[in-house]
Amino acid sequence: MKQILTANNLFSGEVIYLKSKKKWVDSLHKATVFDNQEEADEALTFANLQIGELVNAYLIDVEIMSAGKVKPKTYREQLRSKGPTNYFHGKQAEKDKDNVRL
Amino acid sequence: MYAYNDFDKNYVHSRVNEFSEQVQRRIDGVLTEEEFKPLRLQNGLYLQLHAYMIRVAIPYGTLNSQQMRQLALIAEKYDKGYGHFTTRQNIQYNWIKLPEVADLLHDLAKVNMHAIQTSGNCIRNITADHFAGAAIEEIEDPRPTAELLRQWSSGHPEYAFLPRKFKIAISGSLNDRAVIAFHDIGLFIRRNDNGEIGYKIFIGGGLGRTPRVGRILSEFVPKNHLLGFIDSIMHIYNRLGRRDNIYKARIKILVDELGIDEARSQIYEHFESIKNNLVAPSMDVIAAIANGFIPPDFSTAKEHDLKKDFLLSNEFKHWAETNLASHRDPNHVIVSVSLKKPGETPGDATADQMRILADLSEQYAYDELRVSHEQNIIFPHMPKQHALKIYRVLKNAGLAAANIGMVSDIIACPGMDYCALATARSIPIAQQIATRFVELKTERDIGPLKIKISGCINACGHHHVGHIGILGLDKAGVENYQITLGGDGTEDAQLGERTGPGFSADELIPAIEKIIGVYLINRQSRNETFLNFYRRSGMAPFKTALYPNKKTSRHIL
Repeated sequence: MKQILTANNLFSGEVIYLKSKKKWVDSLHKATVFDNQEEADEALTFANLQIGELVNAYLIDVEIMSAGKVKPKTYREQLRSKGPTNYFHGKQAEKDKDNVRL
Repeated sequence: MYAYNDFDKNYVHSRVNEFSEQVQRRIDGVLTEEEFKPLRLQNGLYLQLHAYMIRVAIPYGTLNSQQMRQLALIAEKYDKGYGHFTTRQNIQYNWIKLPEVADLLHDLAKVNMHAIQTSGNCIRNITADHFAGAAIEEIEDPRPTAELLRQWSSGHPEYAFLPRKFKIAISGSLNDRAVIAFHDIGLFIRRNDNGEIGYKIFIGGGLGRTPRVGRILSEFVPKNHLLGFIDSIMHIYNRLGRRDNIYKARIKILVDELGIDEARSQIYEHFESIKNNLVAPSMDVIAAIANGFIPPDFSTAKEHDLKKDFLLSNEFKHWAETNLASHRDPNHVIVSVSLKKPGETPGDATADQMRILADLSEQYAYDELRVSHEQNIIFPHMPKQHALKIYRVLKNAGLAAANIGMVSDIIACPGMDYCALATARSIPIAQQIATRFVELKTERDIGPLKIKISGCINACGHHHVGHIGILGLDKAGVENYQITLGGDGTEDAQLGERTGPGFSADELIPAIEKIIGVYLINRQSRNETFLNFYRRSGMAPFKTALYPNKKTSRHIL
């Protein structure tokens, strides 16, 4: 099972994904994909210590599509990765930021 | 309109200051999220899917133009230029940043508004009939009672940590426009045989995962006993309500478990024990509240025959047929401004639209606006002589959808587009249904029909009381929609009945068309509404249309 780690930025509330221990990114395509549960759990433990910077960290199941694009398995996570469908707001309306400032 | 006194103002300002400090302590890392969450919720601040959301209280859905303009300012300054009016007569902003919350609350407090008790396990914003003070059949304006209850329940120390949230609604009319029977406490103002005014009280109504029609606690409670009775209900609930299981924590479950007779007996027993020692509001307080709800001087409006305007504009006539209601004064009408333009998001208004509504209310309608639980805006008192004029302004602002009570006037919760609890989207379903029936040009032929959509079992979209109710669920990560028929949120309170297995997002709109088709083909005449037809026909013809191959196995959620 492939997984990535997600959370919300404490300050903006924005959806973020873990790239490395020093770096959270705003696009799931740049997130680290975990193949093994132990590493995924370790990342979650690390995230849960960052309580002053993020909220609500959890792992999500994903598939890797063509060209390395990451697709969450649930529709809810697909929405979180893009923004709402009634307005062109949220991530879909913003240029990818390489490094999310926490 | 009721204006906050110094006590109210100080209370709001001190709460803003207190919460601003709490926000800062969270930002500084002094508070953990676990510690901060109950504090932010008590101040209406949620973390949703994409951002923070703040829910602003609009007590009994009543606003003046200055407040509406401030809501517009907040939409522009802190959000993306719009706000979402909710089924509890409040407004929500969807794109809030935590460091800006304190400034937002200070801006709200400038117009005596706040987000206190719009979330959390406390007594929430008290809702009321949106035609209050204007409806013909009204016994008494329910808002002075709602305001009294607001003052009593705001920051009430005993009821700050209830087993679960608690919702109170009140109507002074014979017709129920405020879904009274589906609240934790529902109040109807009634007159007894001696001509005295008092309250019929329902308890234990609610929607959500365990929908219940409220049970009658009392047919008549005299006015001066109201607070004592409410206090007794709250006391019994606070003591006996289930705190062990969040799904069984609402008062409706307590009433189920005790039975209404035992619940009544305990509430009355408590009332008897306190009745000689009631904390009653002083005459000054009652008078100050009453002064805030003195109706405008209706005699200034000229006599005016709307039929003359209908001759000038057929479009206006078309709009008036659905969006104007009779007023208690013959020279006025009640205007419902639809926030359901087909294809748009139900309940959303842009900052510019809010300003136009504010301007119109100030110039023509005694500076008063209402938010309805059906997510529309009301001018409760509009002189007939101004109706055509304001229609033209509304039309230019994209606010003249002529559909109140019709198929495209859909209640929809924010659903999975925004809400962290949602299991499916609501908004696009509402958009698709509305757009489809506009295309078919059958809306007026169909007549009165209430569709209500919730994106999860918590039922913020009131699907249980929709003539057609739609509940969005998650089926293995994919949206799936259940349909109920025959729900009714009025004085004839009725829960909808499920048609059967759910439908995918793609199957749903054709299913709604089939349901409406069954009605159109089989109704006795145009006078038989969808709801009346359903009551006569029952579920059978709808099931046959929806599930023609009954033996085909479908997954039942």
